[in-house]
Amino acid sequence: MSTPLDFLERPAWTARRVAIWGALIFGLALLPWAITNGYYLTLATNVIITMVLTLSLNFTIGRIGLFSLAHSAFLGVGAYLAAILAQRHGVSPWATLPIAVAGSMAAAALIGVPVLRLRGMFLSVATLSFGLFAEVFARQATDVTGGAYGIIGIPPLVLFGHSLRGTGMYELSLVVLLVVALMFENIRTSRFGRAIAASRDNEPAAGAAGIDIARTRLAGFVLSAAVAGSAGWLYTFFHLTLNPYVLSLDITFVWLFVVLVGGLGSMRGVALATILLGIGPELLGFASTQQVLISGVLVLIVVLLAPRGLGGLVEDLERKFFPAPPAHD
Amino acid sequence: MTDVAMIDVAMIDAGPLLRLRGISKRFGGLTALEAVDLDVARQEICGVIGPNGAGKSTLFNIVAGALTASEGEARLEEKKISGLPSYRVAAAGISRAFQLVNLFGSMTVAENVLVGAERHDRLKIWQALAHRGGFARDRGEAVARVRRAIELMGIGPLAALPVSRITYGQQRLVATARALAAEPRLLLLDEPAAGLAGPEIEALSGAIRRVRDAGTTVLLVEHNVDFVMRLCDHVAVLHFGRKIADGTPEEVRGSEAVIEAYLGR
Repeated sequence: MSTPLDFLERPAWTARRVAIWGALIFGLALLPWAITNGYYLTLATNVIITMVLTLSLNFTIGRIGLFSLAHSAFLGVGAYLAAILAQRHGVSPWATLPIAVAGSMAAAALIGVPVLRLRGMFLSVATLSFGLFAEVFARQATDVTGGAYGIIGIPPLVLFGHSLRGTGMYELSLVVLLVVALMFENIRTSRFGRAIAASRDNEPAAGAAGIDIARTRLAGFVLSAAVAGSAGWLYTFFHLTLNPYVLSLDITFVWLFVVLVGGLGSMRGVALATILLGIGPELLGFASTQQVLISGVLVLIVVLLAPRGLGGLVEDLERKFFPAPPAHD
Repeated sequence: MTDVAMIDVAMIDAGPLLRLRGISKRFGGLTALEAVDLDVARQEICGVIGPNGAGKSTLFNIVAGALTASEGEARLEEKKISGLPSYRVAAAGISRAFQLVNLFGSMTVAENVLVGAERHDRLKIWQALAHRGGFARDRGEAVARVRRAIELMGIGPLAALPVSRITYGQQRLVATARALAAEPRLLLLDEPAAGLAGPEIEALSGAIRRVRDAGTTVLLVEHNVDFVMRLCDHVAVLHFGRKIADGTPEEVRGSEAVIEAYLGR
């Protein structure tokens, strides 16, 4: 007798999944030629950059199980490092990417070592203080960050002699999003990903299975911060100006709402929620201050009607219309 | 070179697999364990029994690295394991199954066992990100261990089910399979028969014997004296934190001190 365990070794990238992802990416890559209006292209790029960040936040909250409010700071560290180095010190905008990512990782490692010992509410408060500190620092350290006015006149990214604006920045953001999404998807089906989920599900059992929980969580947290840093880097060279608004609590909470509406841990759900919450209010003509309110109402609706978020809804629909073949027959 | 290797094996084989010396544990003013010595030989099923509060679980947790002994020393062969955190005790070759079922609730049966089967000593981030760098080989080896553990415990038909959908008795078997999948040198079972019905206990005893016959040493603590006496090769009895008997089931059953402890006099 041999137990069928093929599903454990099923390739992560089946033909069907590659086809679905491929079609999706192809469609998204062609989007700029379908929307001729510059405003909508800006909106689409914004949504993609936001999605890089929300996927990172989703990994930290949904997968690692850490309710982090410090992701605005990780994005900010990447964004400010890129802006300052490119605008003031003449560093090539491309060369600021690894520096921005490394800076965010260093920040995460620095606060991660003491903070990851905390649980639940205490962890949230500690990361929130770090987020608030980052915003205050950006506002007050005028010499470094340009204070409330921020940094303007950031040189754009240049590729083959052309500045990356509009369509170029859209496509670059899409490439970063793709790399990030593939990365998180691969982690989910890896030993490291299972160790992270095991540590979230049950700490004593994870320890007994030989998992160094503190090290595993810290690595996940730093990785997630690296992704947030890359979102910050994109943000800087998309807007070409940077001010402390990017670090404000409003934005942090909108991201948090996106992850909650999307469904903790579900990449599809969070991607969907990013699009809905990113485009919806804009198209309906609400100001950004009202966005928080609308997002809040949406969270309430989702929590009441679909506790597993949009991701859970999509999963239920999928099961209904494309029933999975039995694991063994 | 061959000679050296042979001498090494001979030396290691000479002693017990697990050696506890003078293990004491105090919680504030309460003494849970007092100078307990215990040798567990290779490939035996050793059971530790005792009335409530005798210190069985405390002893178990010290061996597993979940608690630190106040005094004394635990060694697995030559390696000192007392004082190590649980994940390093696990890396040294000791796996435990918990008294309460502690499964990973978001996973299937097979995934739970897979986490137990995988070697977590290095993070291998690149392997996780890119599914390269020995990804398929490591997983293949782990899945082979999962297969052996699942078959030893007889839970093959459950493999693809989420752990939330199986019965309590089945969950206990999964927890044991997860510990077993690490292919440890010493398997620790904390009250494996608790909450199980008659036929389930029979199935469990059979599974534990198969584990022993496959070469793994088993140390279990248990309430159910009958189960231990029928299953174990070696029984130790704790009473108020002291070891009052140690031997074969027959020797222990005849011991005055044990009869006194259990029946009261």
